[in-house]
Amino acid sequence: MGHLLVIWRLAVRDIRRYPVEALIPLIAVTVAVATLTVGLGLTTSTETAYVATKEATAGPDVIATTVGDTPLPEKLSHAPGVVAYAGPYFAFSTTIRVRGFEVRSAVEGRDKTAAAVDQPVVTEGTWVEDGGAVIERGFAQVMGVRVRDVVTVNGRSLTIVGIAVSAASGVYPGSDNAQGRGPTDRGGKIWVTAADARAASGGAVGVRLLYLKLADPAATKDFVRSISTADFRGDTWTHYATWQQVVEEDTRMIRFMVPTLVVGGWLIAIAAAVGLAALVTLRAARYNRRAGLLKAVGATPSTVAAVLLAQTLPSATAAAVLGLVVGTFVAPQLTDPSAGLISTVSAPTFGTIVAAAVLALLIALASTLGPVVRAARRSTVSALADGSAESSHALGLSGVMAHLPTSLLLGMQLIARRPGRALSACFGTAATAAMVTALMIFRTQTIRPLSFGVSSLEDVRGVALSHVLTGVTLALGALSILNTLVIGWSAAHQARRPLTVARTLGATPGQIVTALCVVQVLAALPGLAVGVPTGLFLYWIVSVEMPPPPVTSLVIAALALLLTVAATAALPAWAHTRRPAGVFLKSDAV
Amino acid sequence: MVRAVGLSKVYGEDESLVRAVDEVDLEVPAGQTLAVIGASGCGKSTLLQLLGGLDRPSYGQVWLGGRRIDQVGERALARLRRKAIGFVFQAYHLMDELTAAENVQLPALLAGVSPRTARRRAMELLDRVGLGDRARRLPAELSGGQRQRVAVARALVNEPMVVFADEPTGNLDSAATHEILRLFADLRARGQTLVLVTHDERVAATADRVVSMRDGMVTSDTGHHPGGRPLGTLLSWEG
Repeated sequence: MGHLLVIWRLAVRDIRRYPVEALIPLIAVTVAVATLTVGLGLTTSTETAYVATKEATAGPDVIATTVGDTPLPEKLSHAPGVVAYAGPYFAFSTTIRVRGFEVRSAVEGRDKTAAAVDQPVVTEGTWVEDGGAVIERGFAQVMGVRVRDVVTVNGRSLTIVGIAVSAASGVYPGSDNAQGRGPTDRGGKIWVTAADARAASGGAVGVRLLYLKLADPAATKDFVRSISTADFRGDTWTHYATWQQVVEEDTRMIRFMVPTLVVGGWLIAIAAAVGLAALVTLRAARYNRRAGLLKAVGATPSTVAAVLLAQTLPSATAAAVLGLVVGTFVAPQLTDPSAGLISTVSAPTFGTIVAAAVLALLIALASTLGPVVRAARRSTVSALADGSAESSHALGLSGVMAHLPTSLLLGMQLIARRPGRALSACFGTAATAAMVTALMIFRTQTIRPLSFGVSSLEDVRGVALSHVLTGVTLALGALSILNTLVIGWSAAHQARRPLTVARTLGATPGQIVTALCVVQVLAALPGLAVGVPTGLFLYWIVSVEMPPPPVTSLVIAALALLLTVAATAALPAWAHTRRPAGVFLKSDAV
Repeated sequence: MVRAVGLSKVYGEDESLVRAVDEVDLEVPAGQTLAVIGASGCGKSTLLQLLGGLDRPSYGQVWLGGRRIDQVGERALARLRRKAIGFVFQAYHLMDELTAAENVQLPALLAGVSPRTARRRAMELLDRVGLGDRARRLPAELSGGQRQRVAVARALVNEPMVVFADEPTGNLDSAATHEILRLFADLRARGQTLVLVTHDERVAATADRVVSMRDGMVTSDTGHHPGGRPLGTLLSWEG
């Protein structure tokens, strides 16, 4: 109890005293966890949205498509296991004209009254009426169709009276389920009255759609098997689609988003860990002093470790929860790029929660465990005497590098003194470079519009993926800039003594700033060398097609990254040189 | 109470070998106030750290309350520091983030005392050192002397067998030094075993016994002087 109170008190006071230090890991880990949560939850979220749409529309478990007048629909509607049905509804696939587009679409004739199975939910306007059509929401959105627009079907003009969603077919661009035999193509869907459908069909054979509800919705496969026998259907052409197949079709819409977000989440996690490690390095002197002080009054090394970890773990825990919440609420926005489903927030799965917790814990531990263990194991006397740990890596390089320019020499020495910090900066740059590379390759691929007969329409999947990729890259870029600032500050802070000695010996502020920039740029170079091929590799394993890498653009992007690193590193370095050298020589408490 | 046998602490090797503490034999009986004096770098602080289990000797033995402590593990040493030892440092070493009362409670809470009892004990001790009205102040809001009084209260909170004080007045002005010495006089009167390290002979003069050190070795031991020099003598020196 007493130990917990001590840990709690110190953690809370630290947050109050150093709010920025608490905020940085909170933001970094939240972004990483949220990205991973969205990635892992996307498929579930799509399924949840489909289920919500199916429930709201009394969606069918099996959709039977037949051609011509046959007794099969009648037979199917009374087949064992069927508890409700709607139809058969006459439907045909044709080219419609609306808002200047000429596009393929299913035209389905429906009753004006509500159906027992598959009654599309009207999200705007009203249900079908004579002369009035209802358009599927995703289809309407991509063309910018609104209620009161006019749609022309085979020369017959109908007014759009409503916009609706349905679970009886896939979302746009896979919602044309009236194409009958043969290969099917992409298309949208509109509903009209049965009379309007007949009148507008121009004598087309079309199909008849029968929507079936089963006693056991999970047993669709068995049901389809039972009605697919030659005895049952005779020689009539039929096509059966189960609700599971529709979900699968809808999930394909987000096929490339899931790996993008999951990989992006882990890359952001690397960047977050790098930032946190730099922050922890900044805190090292405080950690050591606190460890010494606690030990002097009777704390065991494990209590000391717990106290020190408590400075990071609460932020990481809060970030894990926050990231889960943010991710859970963002996922529905990406679930259905075509807006053909009713978006609902679904609770994260146990697996997602575990992954988020593991990610947050990994980031926190990867960045803090080393310094915490070192502080906890350090001798009480040395920790109390001097909080900062001096490095002993510099000597070997001094002779070799003697002929380098002053700034470069100082920079190399700083890297040699703290190789761990350079390595962590290298990891951070590699993560950002990998994502930037993936984005640039994606950008070279033209997002081809989908061909819908005469007109082409925007490929919502590609556009959504582009947004996701850009979002993840921007998040990673922002974190990297923050990391460079923190690492730069940490480098300037830790090297204050040797740099101050260099200043007293005549080094100019410009040389000091350049030296600190050199530290970051030299660390970034191997990061780029690793990050760019990693980005190419990740893109290759995620994407179906790999266009040739845009070499010139990649070189420009790499140079831009280096420049950004140098410019960002210059800020804390410049701040360091603003203070008189005497301040650093007199006191360690800066 | 406290015993050192052939106690040594060496750093480095061969030519760079430094004997910070060299073959020191020492025994401090219960209730005695011992002052260790010597010039800077003579090894007196190292000796104190070895006696208090903050550092491990290179050779020799340290006994506390009849138990040998130089070979026990870090956890056992931690328990010992909670229950049997109190430290007062020159630089106070208070937690900047905790109030005076919370700093005093710290060792008690680590020793498993209930928060309520720890709070009560801390308030009693702060009253005793004259800081009852400063209990909720952060160290940064206290003067040097007040901080050191908080440190003394913290050292006493678990009623230790022995209090080790390393240059307790080293950072203080005359008035604050006087406050701390008054406090130590009170501790001595209560029979608290106290080991003081100081380079200030005026402070050492208040002890029952004074040990001088040079180059890591004990060069003189004035032996037991019951009662030591009265505090009034010291005050008259200060003019």
